[in-house]
Amino acid sequence: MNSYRKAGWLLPVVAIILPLFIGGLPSALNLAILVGIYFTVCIGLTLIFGIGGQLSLAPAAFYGLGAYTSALLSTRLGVPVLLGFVAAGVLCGVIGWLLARPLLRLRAVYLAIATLAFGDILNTLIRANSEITGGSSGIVNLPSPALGSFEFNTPLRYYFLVWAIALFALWIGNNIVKSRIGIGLRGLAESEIGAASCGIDVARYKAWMFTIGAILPGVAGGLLVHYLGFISPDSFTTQFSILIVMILAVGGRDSLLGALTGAILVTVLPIMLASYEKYSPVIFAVLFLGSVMFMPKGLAGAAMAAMSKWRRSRND
Amino acid sequence: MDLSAALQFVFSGITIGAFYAFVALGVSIVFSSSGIVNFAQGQFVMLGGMVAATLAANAHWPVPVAMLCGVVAAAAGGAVMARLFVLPMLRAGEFPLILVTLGLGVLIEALAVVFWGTDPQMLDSLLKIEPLRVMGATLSSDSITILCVLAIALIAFTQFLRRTRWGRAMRATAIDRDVAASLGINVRAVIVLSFTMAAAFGGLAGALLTPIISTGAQSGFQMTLKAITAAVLGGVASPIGAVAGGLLLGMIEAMSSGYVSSTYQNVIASVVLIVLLFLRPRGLFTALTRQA
Repeated sequence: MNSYRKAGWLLPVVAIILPLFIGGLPSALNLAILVGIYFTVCIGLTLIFGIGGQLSLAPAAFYGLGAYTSALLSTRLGVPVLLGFVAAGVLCGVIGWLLARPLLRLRAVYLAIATLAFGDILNTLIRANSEITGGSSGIVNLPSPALGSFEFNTPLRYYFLVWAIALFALWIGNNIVKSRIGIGLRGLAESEIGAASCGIDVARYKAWMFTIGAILPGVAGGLLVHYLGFISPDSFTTQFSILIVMILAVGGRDSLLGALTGAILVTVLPIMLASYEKYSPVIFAVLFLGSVMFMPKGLAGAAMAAMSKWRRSRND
Repeated sequence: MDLSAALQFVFSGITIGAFYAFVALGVSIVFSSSGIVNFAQGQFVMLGGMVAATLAANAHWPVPVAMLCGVVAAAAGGAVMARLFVLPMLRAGEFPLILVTLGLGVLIEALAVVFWGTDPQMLDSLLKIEPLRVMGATLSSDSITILCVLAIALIAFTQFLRRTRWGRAMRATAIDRDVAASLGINVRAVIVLSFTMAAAFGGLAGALLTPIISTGAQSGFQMTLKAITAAVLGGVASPIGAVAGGLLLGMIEAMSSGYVSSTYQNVIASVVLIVLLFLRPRGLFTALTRQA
């Protein structure tokens, strides 16, 4: 636990000084921005998935909903982009909260299917209402977010915006994990009946985690599309939800450190595998399957276990 | 209302519904024996269709032989999946098992894309029958084929469950795995058998559908979603329910495509699914099939 707290301080420091080393490399900065965006999505999902033990395949839906909220507000109504991010978070949060109670009554598999169906509905609606959403081709030339006259229009500035939000999300996530709610959620994952008999308000806690698991992908979706400058429904398909599940399974689904490990891995690995591009989905799938079968706590969990083993052997 | 158009929608609903019924039957067989909802089921549909199409188009094998090979390939995939990936994880709990089937789905799709690329493949019809014309509506030769094969497969499967040793073992396992094991039934073998049969049904469905709608390497997950929707509609633990659910889903889609808009046919099916999950999480037909 102690080393965990130290790591919690380490990350903001690394995030601030990292641009000193990679600031001149556009491709590295680009990767760091994407890692921050994925990480934000995964923090939300870690609560549902790793800590609450529920399989939600809705991240793509909320990611897309948030992205379209801020994209439409900024292009159609001229709302400042940062306010659009807030609106994205609020809208996703409200919808997440409304869906949570009926959805989370369902058993694991049914929840997965219902959330998948929800994403399917949303994606079709976006494609079908092309006069509003631009249909399958989407919307181009999205504006950059700005704070007063300061525009986040260079990769370096965007990097700081993304990581400020990611670290804020991490702070919230970490507090929830350590709070009564987090402990309650872990209890839920172990045994719902047991948790209920200990006085945990199962429905309320689940609704909470599902709401936060909707807000963070929503905001992250907004961050992504205003970074790329365009939006299209192709970025918010089931494939994305499965990718998030893979990130969490490979990184380690029961800790926020695992979410970060996984997010780094999925962004950096394709670059390393660039010369085997054709096979990289296969390699990912093998990695995913291998983690589920042999490393239930993912890379982060395996690394932590190895570290504590090493420390114990040193103390002997 | 135009009667012949309505009948035409019924015909296309039955055809696609029969296909869903096959795939959903596989979901239900696996769920009954192992409690696992197989997220890779749609990949076996894809595999059956793609193997059959490749053998027929590239190797110029006769269509029936190519289709048979598709089914065998899918069944082999199901057996390997169950033996190597599912059995070792049986004790890990529901959540990791879902992830394993999801992971295998991703892996099979990734391999298929490497092997076949992303272009859809076509296949010739299995039988060339005279189309059935009723009041201006046409039931095509391919539709008649898929309906006949579904009927034969269903009869064979029920007879298998009723009359054979393995069928009875499967039914016992579905009722209670622990009691079945204590009675000397090899539950692990039953699970492998159920995955194999489910994959074979999926592959058969894929091979029969490819002449109607071409199959692509990335079509698997969509099929999984349809199959699970159909199975949930009918009650996932009941094979008869799954077949009924498949036919119902096909009908809902055909009707909404015909009378509302083809863009919204998936939306309507998904809304029906979500509403149903909220109201009757055990499926529509469970009360009917309970006595059967």
